[in-house]
Amino acid sequence: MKQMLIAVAGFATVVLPAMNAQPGAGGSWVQGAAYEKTGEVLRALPRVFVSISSPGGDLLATTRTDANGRYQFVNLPQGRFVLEASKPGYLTRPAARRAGSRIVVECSSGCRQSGMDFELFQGALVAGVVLNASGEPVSRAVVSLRRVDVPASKEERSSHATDDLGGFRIAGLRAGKYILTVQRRAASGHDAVLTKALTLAEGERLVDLALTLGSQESFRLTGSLSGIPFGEGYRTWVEMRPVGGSAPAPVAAVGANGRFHFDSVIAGRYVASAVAVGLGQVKRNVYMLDVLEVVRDTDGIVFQPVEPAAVEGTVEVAAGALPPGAVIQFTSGDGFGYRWTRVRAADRHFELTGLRPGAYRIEADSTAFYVKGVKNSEGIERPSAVILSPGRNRLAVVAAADQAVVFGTVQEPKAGSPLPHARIGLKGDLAEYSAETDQAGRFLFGKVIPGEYRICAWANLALPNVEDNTIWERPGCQSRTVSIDPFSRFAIDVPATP
Amino acid sequence: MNRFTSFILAIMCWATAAFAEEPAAAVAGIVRSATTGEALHNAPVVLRSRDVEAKVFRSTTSASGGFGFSGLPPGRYQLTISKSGYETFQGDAAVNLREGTEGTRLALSLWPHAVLSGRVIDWEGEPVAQAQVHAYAVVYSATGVSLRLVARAETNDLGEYRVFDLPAGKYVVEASPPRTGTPSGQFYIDTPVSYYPSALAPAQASPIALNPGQEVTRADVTVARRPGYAIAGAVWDGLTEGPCRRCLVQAVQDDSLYRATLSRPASVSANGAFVLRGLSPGDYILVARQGSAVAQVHASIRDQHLQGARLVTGLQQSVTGQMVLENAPEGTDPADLVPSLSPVALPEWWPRAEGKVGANRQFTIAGVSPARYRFEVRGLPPGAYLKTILAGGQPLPSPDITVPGESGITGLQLVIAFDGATLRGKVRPAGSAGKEQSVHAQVFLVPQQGPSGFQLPQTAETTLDGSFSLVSAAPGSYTLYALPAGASLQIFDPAVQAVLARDATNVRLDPKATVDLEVALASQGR
Repeated sequence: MKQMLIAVAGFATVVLPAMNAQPGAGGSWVQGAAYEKTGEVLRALPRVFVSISSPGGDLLATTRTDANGRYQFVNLPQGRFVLEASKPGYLTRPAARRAGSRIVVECSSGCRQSGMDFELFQGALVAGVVLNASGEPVSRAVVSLRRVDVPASKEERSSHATDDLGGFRIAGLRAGKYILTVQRRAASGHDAVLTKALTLAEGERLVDLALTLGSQESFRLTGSLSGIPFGEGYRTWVEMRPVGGSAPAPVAAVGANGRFHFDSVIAGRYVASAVAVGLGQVKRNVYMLDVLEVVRDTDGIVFQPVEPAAVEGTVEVAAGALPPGAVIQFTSGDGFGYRWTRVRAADRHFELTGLRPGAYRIEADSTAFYVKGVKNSEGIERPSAVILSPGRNRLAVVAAADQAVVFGTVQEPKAGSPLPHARIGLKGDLAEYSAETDQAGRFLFGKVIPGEYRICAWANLALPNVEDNTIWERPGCQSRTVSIDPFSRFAIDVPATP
Repeated sequence: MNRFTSFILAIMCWATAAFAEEPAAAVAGIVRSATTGEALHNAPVVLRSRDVEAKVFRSTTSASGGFGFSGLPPGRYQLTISKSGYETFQGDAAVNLREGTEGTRLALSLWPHAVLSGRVIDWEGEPVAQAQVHAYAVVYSATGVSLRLVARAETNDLGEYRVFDLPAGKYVVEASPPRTGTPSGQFYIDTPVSYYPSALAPAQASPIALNPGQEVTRADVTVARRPGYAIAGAVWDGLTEGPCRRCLVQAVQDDSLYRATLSRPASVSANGAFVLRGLSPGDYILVARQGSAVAQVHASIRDQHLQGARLVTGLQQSVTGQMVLENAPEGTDPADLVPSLSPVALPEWWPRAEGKVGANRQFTIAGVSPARYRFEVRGLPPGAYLKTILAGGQPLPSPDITVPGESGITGLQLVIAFDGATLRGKVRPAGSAGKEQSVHAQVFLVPQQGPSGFQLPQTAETTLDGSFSLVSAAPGSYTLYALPAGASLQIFDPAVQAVLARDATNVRLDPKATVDLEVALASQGR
């Protein structure tokens, strides 16, 4: 709102708000360029939107790259800034030396930073028409693309409604596996749905897709049940619940011979379960079955009940005290979400039932304590993974609340003077922490789990964050280790790596 | 007034002789495009009984556009035919089947929708992706001209848009920049909305006239480079005496010609503050709403941001008074009358208010948000109409009143007269020589003195044989127009009235008179 846009000598230039500029900051600038990389060919990319924001996310100014793909922001005040680039239909490639697709710049008085370059590439494009069974265009159908080869929490979705010619166009897609769904709400209330699996290569352009509603690509699944009551005296059926997505959940009755038959199951990932109700009974007996990837006609499936897992146990507190109302969380390693349970205050007992057997991670839900491990007959194990088997699982979870405080300053490597706005990271087996120093070069970690850590500090914020393993390969970051004791107050001054 | 905006069009039917004694009827018809005459197949046809609840018959047109129903109970039916890309035909009282009616054949024409397409580009000629495009129909009504949102679209990565399913008419096309959160949203954050071709206010826009089935391409909207201004302010909830956190604030462009609600609302922060960005210089009505609690304030932007706009919701007032019944016939129960207030020149969602008539014919309309309203009285018996409103014994010039924020209005007298005239008639197809035909038409009774005062326009839809009746017209001089039903005809557009003058009929309605007349269907349907 307060920026003013002016163009200077071939650069698209932005003057930051004068009120933010500090005396003597005049003449400071950052500049860079946007490139499109196709194979090995780099080409300057004009008309790329570039924004500069504070680390907190407040937008300071925006500009657009010029005909030569260049941009510049001038009159920067002192501080740290985040640069981001975007262009409709394009994606930003995380550059080798950058933190993801963003660039962090540090600007001291009179700073001049060049080479803040972005690399973009054209995303994949999916376009076409939706038709009905008579070949007429279908308007107002919603075409959605859902990326399925990433964890459910990171699923990418985009959608577009068709026009009067049935046309749709979705650009800027990442390479990957997608489920395409077309949905048309009918006045009768019966929605027409079509689902199709698509694999997109980088920059692929699928422009002539003709999707005919009513020609749903679906598959036949047949098989039998084993170990589940059916036939005389029972009403039994199999349900297929889609994992994520809006596809309907098909149901098939189980015949007297124990066989079931799904005529048309649309492509996708399903969790199967069987329900058996004794005649004259109200109680539904629900049996967990397999997880099924439906991509082709399949006969001869044998579904056996998977016995659900139940877990119970106690939380042993190794050090410190558990906060009242402490909650521990079981996160599925197979993409089935998480379940949580409260630890009973009186005897620190917990229990959870009806879990799908598999790998889980046990964690504390707050920073007030942490899960140290799980005790089995041999001693303490790593906390991050337990395998819950069908049936009862007993666990002795070891928690602790003995975190330490780690504080100090980050120093300029040669002069030893405190470095403001530097980044410092701690990396241990159980946890990693990162922070930025304040104006006086100080940092503080309030709740550090005791243990061995590598410690490293850097002045250049353009380097990747601590989550990126490559940072720990840098000279000076490998050798420096510290041992943090429980409940300690650990003071350390860390010279920044060159 | 809804009739003005209903979709539909011309219908003709040939009623052939009825025979048979069976207490059932049949109806058949053919559906064609009104412009090309091509048969429309696969169109759902629905007959809904107006006498028996939930009696619905469904069919679909054949390859040659034909449809048929038999074994229907006699009675009146509403006929609906829908087809993608065409205006839905809906005749509320279109089909009247008597016992044993056989072989009633209808020939129905559906008007194709128009399409507008183009690109949204910015001041450097760059396509603007994910811009929001809105097509507003220019609607002429008795109270003036307004813009009604008919269709919206979003531009693709090439800046292209396509809005469709547009009934024929005049349109103003608006493009607002992409929302924040889109790749270019931050870049265009302060860009004001623009109107085709590159105007900052709807009055400066070039309206695009669309004929039925017409496709106008290259309706490119250029968004202006000049940064828009912002209005900052706060919304207060007068009931809780705290900030109205759940309120949404919208700006209505108070243009000299139209009013358009801008599509980007602002939410209100925890302390009641809001900022509306990207506004062009001009006059605005700021509206805050949370459910039925609404508030408005005028704001003008010249050449700088505006701060300190203040809106207070929940300041609802009461309007009270008395119903005065002039020569009411025996058995008139004032409790049946419902005095109501409809907002004037405000967005469609502005709440209406209704009152109750109690003892001594006193009425109270409670919960009225401050604004300008038009008084209407519903539940009037045939022949009755709102004749005038007295405030402090003095007649008001029109049924419009302004409810202030500080206090309510008391002591009004709503005078109901019972000497309204009745107009009955039949619409004759234009240029039909000898051939026995009927028409499905909409008739408009427009006061000759113009749409001011208490003499209000009226409208009615004919049945398939072209007959209609209008009751409770205030005595006076009127012009009667008969138009193909559903023509989203802008009868209050002076230009349209001039074109239709040849087909119009002047009629003088005396108190309690019943006038019968036969009029010709206007040849200029659209």
